[in-house]
Amino acid sequence: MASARDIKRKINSVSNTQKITKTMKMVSAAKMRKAIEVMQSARPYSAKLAELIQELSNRAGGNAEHAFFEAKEEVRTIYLVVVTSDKGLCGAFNSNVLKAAYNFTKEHKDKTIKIVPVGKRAFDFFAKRGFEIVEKWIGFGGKYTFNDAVNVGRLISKSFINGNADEVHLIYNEFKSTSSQVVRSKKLLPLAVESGSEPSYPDFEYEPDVTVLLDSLLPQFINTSIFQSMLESVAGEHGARMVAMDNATRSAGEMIKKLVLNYNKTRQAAITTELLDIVNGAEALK
Amino acid sequence: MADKLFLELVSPEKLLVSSDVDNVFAMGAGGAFGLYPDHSPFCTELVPCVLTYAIGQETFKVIVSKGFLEVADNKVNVLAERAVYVKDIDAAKIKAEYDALSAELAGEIADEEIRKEKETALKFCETALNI
Repeated sequence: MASARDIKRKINSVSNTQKITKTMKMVSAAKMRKAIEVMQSARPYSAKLAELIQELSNRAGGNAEHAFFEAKEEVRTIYLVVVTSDKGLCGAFNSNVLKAAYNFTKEHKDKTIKIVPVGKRAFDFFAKRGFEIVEKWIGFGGKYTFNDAVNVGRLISKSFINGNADEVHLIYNEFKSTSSQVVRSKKLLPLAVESGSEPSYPDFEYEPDVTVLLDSLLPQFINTSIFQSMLESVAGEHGARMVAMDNATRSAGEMIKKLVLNYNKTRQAAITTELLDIVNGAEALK
Repeated sequence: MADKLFLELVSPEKLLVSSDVDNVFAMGAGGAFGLYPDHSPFCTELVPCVLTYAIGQETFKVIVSKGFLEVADNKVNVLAERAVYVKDIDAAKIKAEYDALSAELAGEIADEEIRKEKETALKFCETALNI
């Protein structure tokens, strides 16, 4: 049985850990608020861009011609962009998205899957399992700029156009609320645009013309989708870490309570033993 | 007949403007243009420029890099890859960025797309510094 001193030491150790988890929770809460703000500010841009592409595609009668719309006859290679965090200690946040990505690779066993990891966790996970890594994007510490998304977007757009990738899929955590992040998986390329709707304004004037506009708009749309997924993931990571640290703080509190009880029992037992010794000693002297 | 345009200017980082305005001026692929209420539906690619809009007697200036502008039904949507109000420009930061970009562009850049992007960024800085 542990001595009172051992238990005391353990209580100190657990309460130190509790201090750390409590601080981490508060830091994550502050970071999350900021991340949500950034994420929400980016939403109108991607929504407007999607609207504009839809309108341009409707204008082209749903048959807008662009390399990004062309589905390959035979899909051999798929690029999978997996967005995770760089750091851990955020509960099941990373494992959920990695599990979904891994299941995706199992479902497409007959195809060559190449990974584009965004975040250290995704890189470590797939590199360890022997997947081919196209290019890794790690060490941003959750501070992504639009330029970072442009770099990833450029890589996958080029690979799709020059035939290195026949399809590009994106898997990330979507931020729903502080306690809920949903794993989203979507096909980035080839782009799917709803067809059949009529253009809203028949007498639209385009400068220079629809094809040139689509040439600039579509890569931008890919970049924006990646940027949005990065921001959603960052906000989700902080939310998940906040919840994980809150749970850890609570567990540490419970553990401390149990340890204190144990400590008191041990102390009580030691006092009783000591008293017995004294009484016995006194009896023996009689 | 409408007497206002509803302008929404968004960049990937934030929503900069969302309000009724009297007019909008900017520079597109085909040159400078102005928009007033009841403009015919129109969509253009933007080049780095100073976009101005007026609300009553007050005029606002925003530096935008490449992007898109669409007007229809008295609503103007501007999607700019980068946008900053002239009053918010940090001249020292922009100058440092301009110098770094100039140095990079003076050297070899193998990828044509990267070169174009850097040139656009340089134009954005130039526009911001010249205002």
